[in-house]
Amino acid sequence: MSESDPSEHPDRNCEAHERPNPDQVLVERALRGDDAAWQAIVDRYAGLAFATARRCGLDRPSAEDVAQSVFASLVKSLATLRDSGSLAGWIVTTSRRAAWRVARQAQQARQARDLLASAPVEEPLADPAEEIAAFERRSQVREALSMIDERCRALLQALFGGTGDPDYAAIGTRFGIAVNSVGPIRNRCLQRLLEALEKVGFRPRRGADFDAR
Amino acid sequence: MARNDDTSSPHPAQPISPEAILRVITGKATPEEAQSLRELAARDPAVAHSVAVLRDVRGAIESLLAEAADPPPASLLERAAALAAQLPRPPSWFDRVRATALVRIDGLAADLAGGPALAPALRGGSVSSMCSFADETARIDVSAMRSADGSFTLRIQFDTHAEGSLAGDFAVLDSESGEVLAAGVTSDDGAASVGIGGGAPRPTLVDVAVRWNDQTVVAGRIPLE
Repeated sequence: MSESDPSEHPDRNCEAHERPNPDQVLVERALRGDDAAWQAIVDRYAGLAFATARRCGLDRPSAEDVAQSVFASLVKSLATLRDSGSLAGWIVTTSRRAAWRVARQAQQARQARDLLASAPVEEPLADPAEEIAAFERRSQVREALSMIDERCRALLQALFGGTGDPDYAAIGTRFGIAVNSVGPIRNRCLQRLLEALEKVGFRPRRGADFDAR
Repeated sequence: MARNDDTSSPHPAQPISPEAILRVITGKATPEEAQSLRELAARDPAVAHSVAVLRDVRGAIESLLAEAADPPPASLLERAAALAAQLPRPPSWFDRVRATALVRIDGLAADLAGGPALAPALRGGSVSSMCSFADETARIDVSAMRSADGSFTLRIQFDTHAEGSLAGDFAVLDSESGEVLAAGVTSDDGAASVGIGGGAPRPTLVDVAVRWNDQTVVAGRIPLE
């Protein structure tokens, strides 16, 4: 299988390199006491900390406690993170460690059955580096989706998400378009999304396999 | 992206649309269509790139929808946001614009870029440097003692011509970022001692500000190297 090489797309690379590292900017501002910068860090990474703890098998209350402890550590560690390329790695690693600690304590106390949700702690987790890369891709896709109109967003989410066929009749009704117009509109929306992805410097994993996970 | 109408691509146009790739990625294509796309992607990097982009977009959107179905609790966002109260903040009294900048007066003033030479200290393997700053009314002397672990102890001596207590607020700030590294109150004779951690990254230039009798003076860009 042929692999795509980012160097084959110099324009895309150039655009990506020109984007300032938002994490470093936010950390610098937070270190100067900028509340808005801290709020932006929370908005960007609270979901990641919580989702990471959930993927480790914790129930929602325990995952919330873990995520809260991660941010309590983060506010004390900002100065040491000033030069790090991304906060995502620190968030994932710290969340996992904290989640594993909680899960282990729960198991030792024979409360695992009540505490753990359906996903067992032993479930293989993604490699941390891949998890961080996936988070970055999600952020870029979210940003690209925000750059297109709501109708396109809904069409594409219906197209990409879920395993069954999208309910285009419902989508057509919702947005007041004929069902037979959904296809051409969806096609244009797809092109808009791809253009938006190029603008935000989206780069896929290497390899052209078809498995999304 | 592989497009039928893309004439700007360095790769030859391919008879395949993003929709066709999506049909394969989402499992809606026939095995023959999937095999055909695999062969095409193996031959053409542009098609391979399109497959990779659309595959990862699908994965990302699935994850986004899953996270939207299990969002972080609002209480987490509120509690995490409230931690902003623990961010380092400049002391309320410090206004760099209104502060008086003292002039460096020690013998190394001609070599400001290099800073004072670090001479080996007599004890503990530490090294130290000393800088003096003054104007007509106030003077600040700062000595920096570096420990083996890379941390610094700053000894600050504030003085004026006025009589009475020299107790006042002081702050040590990173000259580059403005971050407050330490703050406190000088003694009645104008002295203070404060530790600057050795953790990385460590500031290389610091400012020392002292407020006394509603006036603020700053000794700027003291090297910690």
